[in-house]
Amino acid sequence: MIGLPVLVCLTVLGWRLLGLPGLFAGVLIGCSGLAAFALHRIRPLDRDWLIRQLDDRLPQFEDSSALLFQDPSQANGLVALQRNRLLSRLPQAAQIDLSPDWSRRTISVMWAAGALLTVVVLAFPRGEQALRAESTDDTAAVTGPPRISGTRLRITPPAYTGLPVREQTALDARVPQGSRVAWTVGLDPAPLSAAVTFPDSVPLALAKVASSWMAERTIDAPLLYRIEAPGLARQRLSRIDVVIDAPPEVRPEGMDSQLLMVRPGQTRWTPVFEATDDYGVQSAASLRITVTQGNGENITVIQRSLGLTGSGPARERRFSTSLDLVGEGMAPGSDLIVQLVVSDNRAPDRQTVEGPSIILRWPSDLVLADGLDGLAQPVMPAYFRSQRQIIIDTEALVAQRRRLPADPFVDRSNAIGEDQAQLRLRYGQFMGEEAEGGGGGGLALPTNDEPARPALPTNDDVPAPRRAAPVEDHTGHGHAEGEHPVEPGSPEAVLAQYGHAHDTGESATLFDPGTRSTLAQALDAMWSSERALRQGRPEDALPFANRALELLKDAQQATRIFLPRTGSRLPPIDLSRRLSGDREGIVADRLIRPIRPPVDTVPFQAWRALEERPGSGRGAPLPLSELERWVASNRGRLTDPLALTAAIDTVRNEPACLACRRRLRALLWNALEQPSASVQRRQAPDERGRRYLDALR
Amino acid sequence: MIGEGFDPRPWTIAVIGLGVLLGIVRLLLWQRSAPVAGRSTHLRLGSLAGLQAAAGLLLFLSLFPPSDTIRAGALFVATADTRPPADLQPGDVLVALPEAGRIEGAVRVPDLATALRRYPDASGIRILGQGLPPRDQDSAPKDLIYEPPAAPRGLIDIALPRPVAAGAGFAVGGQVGSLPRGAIELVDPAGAVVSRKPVAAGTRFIVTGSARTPGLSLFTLRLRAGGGEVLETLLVPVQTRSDSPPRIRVLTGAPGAETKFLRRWAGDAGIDLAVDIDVGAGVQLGDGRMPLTRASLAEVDLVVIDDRRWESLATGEREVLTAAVSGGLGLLLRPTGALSPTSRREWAALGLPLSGPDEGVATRLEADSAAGQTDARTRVALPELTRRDLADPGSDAVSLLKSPDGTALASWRARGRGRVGVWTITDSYALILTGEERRYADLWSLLFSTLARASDDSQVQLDDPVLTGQRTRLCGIDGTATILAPDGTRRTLLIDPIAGDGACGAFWPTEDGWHVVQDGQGRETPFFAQSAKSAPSLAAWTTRQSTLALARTDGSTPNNSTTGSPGSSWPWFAGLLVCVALLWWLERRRPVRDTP
Repeated sequence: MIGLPVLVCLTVLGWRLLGLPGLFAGVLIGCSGLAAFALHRIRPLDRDWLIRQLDDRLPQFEDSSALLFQDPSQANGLVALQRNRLLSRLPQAAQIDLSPDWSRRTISVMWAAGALLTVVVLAFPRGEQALRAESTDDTAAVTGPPRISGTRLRITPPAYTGLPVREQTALDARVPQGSRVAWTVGLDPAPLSAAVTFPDSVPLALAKVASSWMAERTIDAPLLYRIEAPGLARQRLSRIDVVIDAPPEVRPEGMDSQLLMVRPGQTRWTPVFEATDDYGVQSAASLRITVTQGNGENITVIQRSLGLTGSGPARERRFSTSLDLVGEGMAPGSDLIVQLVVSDNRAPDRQTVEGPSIILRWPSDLVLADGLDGLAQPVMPAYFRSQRQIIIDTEALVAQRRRLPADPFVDRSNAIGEDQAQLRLRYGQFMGEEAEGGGGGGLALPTNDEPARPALPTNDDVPAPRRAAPVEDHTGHGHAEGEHPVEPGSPEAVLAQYGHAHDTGESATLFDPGTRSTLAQALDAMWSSERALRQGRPEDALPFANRALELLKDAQQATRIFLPRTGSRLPPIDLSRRLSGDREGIVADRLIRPIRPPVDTVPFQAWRALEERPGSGRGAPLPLSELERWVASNRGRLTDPLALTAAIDTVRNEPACLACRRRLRALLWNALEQPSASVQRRQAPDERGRRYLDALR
Repeated sequence: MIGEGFDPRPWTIAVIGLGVLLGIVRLLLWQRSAPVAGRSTHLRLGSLAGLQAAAGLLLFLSLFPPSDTIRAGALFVATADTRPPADLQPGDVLVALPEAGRIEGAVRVPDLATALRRYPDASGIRILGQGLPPRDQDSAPKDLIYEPPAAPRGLIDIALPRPVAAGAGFAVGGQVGSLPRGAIELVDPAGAVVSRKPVAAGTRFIVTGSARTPGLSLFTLRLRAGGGEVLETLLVPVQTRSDSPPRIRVLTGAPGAETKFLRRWAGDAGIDLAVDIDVGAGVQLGDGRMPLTRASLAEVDLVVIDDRRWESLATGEREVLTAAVSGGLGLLLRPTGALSPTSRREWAALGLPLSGPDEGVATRLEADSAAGQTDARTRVALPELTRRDLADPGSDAVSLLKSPDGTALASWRARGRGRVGVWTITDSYALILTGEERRYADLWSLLFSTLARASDDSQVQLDDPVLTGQRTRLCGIDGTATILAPDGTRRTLLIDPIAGDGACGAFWPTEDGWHVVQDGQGRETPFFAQSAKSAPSLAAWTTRQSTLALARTDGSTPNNSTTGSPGSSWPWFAGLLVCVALLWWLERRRPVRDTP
């Protein structure tokens, strides 16, 4: 019991250090040691010890236990008598327990120590073993090919990131852009030279420093690499990904929209911005302040820049300042626009970002702006009636003549005549006539004759059917015929709207002579119509009004321009067989087949070749080199060309590795272009199915 | 003869009772007629009457011994996932099939047939656990008692896609068991989720993906529980085939955008499609005139014709076309304007009686397509399309495509060996104009795949999914079939002579991976065998359902497993003898009274 913990400890130790052989050795050593210890402990337990014990414990034996062990033949007399007495008392001796006491204390101490030792051995780091493995290799395989005994990547991110230097043993890494990566490679036995090679750039030689090999490089773009040395087994490609520094982001704080209104009584404004970046925002930023003053066309803009210093941690800085509205030059009707320009601390060149603009608007009329702005809708007044409307009104007036007293009739006739006059003046502007009276001026007021949108050249001008009842129709469907002879936006229209042509009707050069004469006749007819209306004779006015409308339509159509559509090149008409009924060869024989762009077959072939299909499908050659070239030429289109390149390399070096082939195939899936859905033929029914289908009808 | 259902017991009771009554009456009469001195004591009289009644009772019992109340044991068969039964009673036997785990007190048997042989006199067979494996289903007697456990949580039904055309979409359907809430995901070979749908217990799901280049690919179906943890995964083998492209002829009466884009898509998809536009007066446009003769139509797999062209066909041409459809040709009718009554009549004669106002109405396609668009992608609303308001009221037409409100946009029915379909949308090209080329291609691929003439190369048909260690049936084998396992071993398939025309055989795959069936004609059908371990519910559900089908269907709860066999009458007969002897002795005994 005392020795068992030692045995367990030895076993565990042997197993930890030497593996299975160690385990057996531990068991063996422990067992033999235990046996020796046990022998040593039972050596004192001989006959003398027994006699002593019996004499001590059994008073009935009367200190004569030794007699029991004597040869009975040598006993005589008293001795024999005493011996016989003892023999008769022998059953009493069976009651006593001669086994020595358990040495409880020793046992517990030993077990505790043993358990502790076992735990320590088990918990001892594995590195110990690796070290041992290397040391044994040193002695065992000095002459073999070199092996990578250990790798360490030391990644030093650029100083501005503030990230700590880290070390890792894995060869794949993800590093911030611009980091320095230092490789420390242990190679056993030491080769003559070693290098870190990159598939698409020059290799980097590893320098021997003490017992390991070192190299260093700055990483700006993701890359693949492997460690190579003469005699070293070809390694798989490892990958270093790059985390690109993101530009900072600016977010206005406490504002729910980019347009703010000045509250009544507000004198100061405190815009607050928060700028975040992955590594840090420069504490110095500038606030671009733009103030607009004035209204209408007379707007002046004042720009200035204000340096701001941020507060808070580097990755999440807050910038704020307080602006005096009047001090900035704001007045009712002006806008104050602020924009924060921040830059991050990337080295060597910073990334500068302009944040969103925030507009503070001082409304020109604070009363109206107080929730009423939605109600004030600009309404386009109908100042003029159209010629057609005048005709309709006149007809209605004529129809009502019997029922109306004389005076209202003349008044209404005069009112229509006034409309006719306004319309005449309106059209007269195009003819260069000076404005009559103080009204109109040079400004073109909108009329109902004006089309709501640019009149399309295909507008069929069918006059609306004349209605018997007068319907006041100013704002409804209007007259979309567009009696306006010029298109809005054309030079003539601009001239008519904003200037006025100082020439007489005969010599006005805005229109061609035909149109001009038509328009002049229309104006004459309008004048006659107006005269009759003002005299209270609307039925006399009607013929002139109708004539004016016809002439206006003529003038409108005369100014239409017909343009051929581009792109259509009609073949010349073959006059020799026109109307002959000969249709021979009038159409092209065949349609041109759409040309399909050539499909990259390389990934398809590779996909098929990587299929795990037994039978005839297997054995297709895997076009690895073509695939690699294809990946190189389609780098921009592929989502992860590096992974594909690495997978191709691995499959090439380890053709038997099934997992590598599967990984390449999985990566290829994303590289495959999705073809246009084609047609799957249905399966033919079997003989019974065919008979059934034939019998169905 | 005693009829069935005749119960002699009441009559026997009546006869015996009458006898006993007569005996007692006789006893009383006898007592009264005896001289007073010779009268028996009341005690003797009472015991005589009692013994007579007892003898009557015992006679009845020896004639109709009561049923044996000793239980004849039931046979409890423990299958997979069996918990030790709590209601075992004396006489019951518990046997455990190899699928069952360690069960206390169970007798291990290699299969059910062995158990039945060993315990032939079991009064009933009760199946515990997930049910009998296929091995034991044939040897199971008819009156099994099986109370199935609760449905498993995971996938209990799965419909794997048939071979798909390159680029075409496919759908995987199925059902989950008792999982209350979860999600099903279809993962493409590169590991990206292409379709995700919520699932709930008892509802079916469909997830869609799309195939790419011809070849074999493995998608994965992942069932996630409500918390997001993966419950089960099942591999979805997708075989993309490059069939011989169908030869399609489009006959129209006028050029149009529809034919133009159809041509374009056919060119992209490698379909041999020719357009024949007859604008009248002998003027032909398109790819040249196609004579409608028996010989030329035999060279074509599908004819797409619009109503204008149909009306301009000669009667003989229509007859030839109809005859060709019966011979296997596909015919797609494409109404583009108001149909004339004649056309309606003729199309009805073809099997598609169309009714409806025949106006152009706006419709939309269902947003969820079989195109395998990823659900994550922001889905833009599909454009509004125009369809002719025609419907086939007949129920025997198959709807191929439906609008969200349930109107059939495309339907077809068989005519002879061929198929006739109608496609009521007139401006499907709007899909291409709005950037939905994939949807357009899927749509026409579906139409053409369904309607075109069947291809000659058939494949061996298999049950799906194929699970390792389980029996897989292969049908449609021609000649001697060989199965190539992933490790390259070849096994020859025996064809079950009972299968008849189906020409079926069975195979137990032992290895996960792609297998290939090669049959006598050199055809190769690949199939994928996978272990049922990652989706155990499927196999469990299958055995459960097949065992349930074997179990008794009357639904009676098998609470009484005692035997109804009549008991032995010998004890009662012995009792009767004793009783009668006592009676005899008592009657014979003359009380020795004060003998002088």
